[in-house]
Amino acid sequence: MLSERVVSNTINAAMMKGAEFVEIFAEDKLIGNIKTVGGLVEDSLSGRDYGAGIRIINGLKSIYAYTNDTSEDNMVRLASEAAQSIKEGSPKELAFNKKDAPIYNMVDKLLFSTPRAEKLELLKRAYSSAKGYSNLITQVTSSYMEEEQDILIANSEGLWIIDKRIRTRFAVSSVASLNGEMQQGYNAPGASMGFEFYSINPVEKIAEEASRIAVEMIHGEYSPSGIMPVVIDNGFGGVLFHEACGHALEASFVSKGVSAFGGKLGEMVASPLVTAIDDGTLANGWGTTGIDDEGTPTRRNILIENGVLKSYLVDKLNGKRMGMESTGSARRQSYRFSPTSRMNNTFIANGDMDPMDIISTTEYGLYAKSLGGGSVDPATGDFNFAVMEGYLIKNGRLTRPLRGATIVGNGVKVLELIDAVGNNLALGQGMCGAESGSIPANVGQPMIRVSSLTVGGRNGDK
Amino acid sequence: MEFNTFTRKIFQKSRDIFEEAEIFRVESENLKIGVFKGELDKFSFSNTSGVSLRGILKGSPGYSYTEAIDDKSVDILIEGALSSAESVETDTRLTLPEAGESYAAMPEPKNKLNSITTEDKIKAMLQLEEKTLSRDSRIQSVQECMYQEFKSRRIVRNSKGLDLEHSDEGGFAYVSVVSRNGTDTKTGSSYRLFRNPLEMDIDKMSEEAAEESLSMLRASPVASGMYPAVIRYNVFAELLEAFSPIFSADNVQKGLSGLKGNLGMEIASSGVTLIDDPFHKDGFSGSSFDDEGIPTSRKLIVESGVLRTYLHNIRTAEKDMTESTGNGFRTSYKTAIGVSPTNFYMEPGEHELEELLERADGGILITKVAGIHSGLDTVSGDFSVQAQGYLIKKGKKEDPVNGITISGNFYDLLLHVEEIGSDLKFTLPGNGHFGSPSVLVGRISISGI
Repeated sequence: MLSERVVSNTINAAMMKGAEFVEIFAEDKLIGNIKTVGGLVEDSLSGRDYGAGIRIINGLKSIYAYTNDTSEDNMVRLASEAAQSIKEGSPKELAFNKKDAPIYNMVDKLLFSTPRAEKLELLKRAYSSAKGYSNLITQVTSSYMEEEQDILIANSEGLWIIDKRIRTRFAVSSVASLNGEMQQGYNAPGASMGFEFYSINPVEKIAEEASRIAVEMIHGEYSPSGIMPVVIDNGFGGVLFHEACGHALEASFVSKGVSAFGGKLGEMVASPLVTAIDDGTLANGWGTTGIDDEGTPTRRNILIENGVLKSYLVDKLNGKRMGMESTGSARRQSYRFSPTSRMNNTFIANGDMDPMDIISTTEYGLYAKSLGGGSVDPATGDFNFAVMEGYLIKNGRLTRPLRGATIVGNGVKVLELIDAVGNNLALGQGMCGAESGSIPANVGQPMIRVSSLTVGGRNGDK
Repeated sequence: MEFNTFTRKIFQKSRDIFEEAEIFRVESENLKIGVFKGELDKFSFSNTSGVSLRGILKGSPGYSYTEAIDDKSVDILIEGALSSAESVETDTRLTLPEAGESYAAMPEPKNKLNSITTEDKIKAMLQLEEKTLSRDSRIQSVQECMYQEFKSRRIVRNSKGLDLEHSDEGGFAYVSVVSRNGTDTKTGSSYRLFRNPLEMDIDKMSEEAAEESLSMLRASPVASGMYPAVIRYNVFAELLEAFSPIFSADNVQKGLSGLKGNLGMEIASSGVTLIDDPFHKDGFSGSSFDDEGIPTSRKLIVESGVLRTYLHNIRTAEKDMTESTGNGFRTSYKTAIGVSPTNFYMEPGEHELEELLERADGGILITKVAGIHSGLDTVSGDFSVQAQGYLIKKGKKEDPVNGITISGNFYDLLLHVEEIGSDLKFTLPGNGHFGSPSVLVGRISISGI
């Protein structure tokens, strides 16, 4: 991507102006997308992202410059312009210790060399399954996504490391219609894996799940409102922990004293039933990388153990502010973003309750089988989530399907209110957006129950 | 390689492969300044560009893009667009516009971003942080205090000789603050969008951010039920933005909009007029041509409650046997042509916010919503989003309210707009730029305690 000469000269252009630390992140990324609507290919797009970012850190000050002109002239000019405000310094004899990133994502069949016909066939099969699921299904949109990102990270401490990230994702959105009303179901699994992903995850199953949700929900009634127990099932339900708690554990918020979990290491912050982990090394995980985007190896970080706060998610710069080591959690969408602490694969660990028992011991409440997206204000911990597929629990039994429910609450409080944790841990895939861009992240949990949450629906009181 | 040489090579190679070809390029420069605790904390700048090729084969479009301008990219673009066009299966035949259309004159960017120096921009942010912090002893910290500016140049060229170019620039400043009283923590923020940094009103920004967080201290949920509500301009603009895809002919044709078959019908109460105006003075999504090179124009989408038109690009217009409305835009050179509004807003009415409040006694003024990207469904129109605001007592805004959700159905909401304020404001530009005045609705479902 970049020659050693360009990298050295760029770093030294900034060192000469007095930079304390200089880092270069370069990437060359291929992207492919095919989208079908109603079973016909509507759009297909391929592309190449290419560019480099130069980061200078002096004390706690960070300067970032990026470009897609990586010629030596332009890189050196940007580096010295970026270091402009710093005093005089001297160049450094750079001896790079060249390394490859550890590999947690084994790939059998490369995505970009797989014939296009095979990808088109996946989309056709998905359409047939989704449409054929029920005659209430009136529209199906599906898409195939592939990407292969090569990165190089080098810094003034002699780091030189390369990594290759391969990811694919398949999304199906089905619309069910009945009596002039429409409801959508969505399912979009993905992994850091090659084309073998589709042997392990048949598209028929992906598609049927999207249609199943749409059909269930078209028969749903509007959700009641009020405060009630909420049972959240496994997989993408983990987005609750991700939003409500995970973001507030990121050093970007903690280091600036604006996190609800600041200064609480070693304290009980959750129900003792809760152990939460962020693991960047899970084999083929959607959020797995060998190194983070500062070149630090990723690792398994226990965030909360039996209710006690054990660790934050830390990157180098915020770690410096907090006096803590990096936890291998620095991430960025691309060379256009300066990295900061983010989540990789974050989940609540298994408890020991049978999911059936959790429901049967709930007298009245909302069962959220799957959640949509949500958001959080990390300073207050206030969060909100859309319930994509919900049911009313009455006397320990699931009754009618509910649509249009939202749950709102507070992250600090909700962790204490978890009163049951199941044993059916599963992960779900999402794109997480924050300061350093949109990145793939796994969320996950077994079934959990929160003893009281505000449910927002349209059906007035219960 | 020089861009003109690159374009020439692409068009040359395209001639033997595609019937027609189009090149779309965006060049950008960005600057970002962040301060924290009295010091410059983050400083970022960039120069980037990307180019996309759309090649038409048997009437079907194929897309590819690259950020590297080199010989390798010439082949990547051609091959990518070709294999993409070969797999597309649409029943419409696409033709690109000819050169020689007439386009409205747009005011040239006045180059006002440099009316103050970079040092002064940093100083302004340091002052903004300091002013905000010192407003009240309950203000605990300034979470974020930042300044950003962007300059962009957009080029559309096609094999029929069309060659258009448009430059734009702007900036915005943002401050967010955390207030604390005992264990009660609340946040507030304020921003300004401008073409000249001298238009930033730092005093006012610090006041707005502080006031928002302080006034929310001791907020609590209200009882669940139906309430009259005044939806403040920023919130209604966010709803308009989130539901704007329903006006796209693309979604209508695909059965993903509830407005299918509603042209000429009453879809909103008679006071509601929705306008798409690429030339609005407060809009930041203006241009005299869209990303396909079609001239843009000011249009009434909903006129006094009646749906007058959908938004079209070339392809959706072809399908409906009508003309493109000049709304063929991409979210970036990395995406295919879609349908987006330019500056899209609700025409303001005559009432001050105070008058709307008087008419909503016992109701709620909604001033902020969260989770709007996940809490709504553009197909069904249903929404349920986290909200905050104030109880309206004796026609005045009183006790702060939070921890509630407002829910309803957007199609329904449009039909139940009772009064429209005079306070039209635009939000931050995204995929289009949206604006709204404050709006009084008779009843909205609120869930609290």
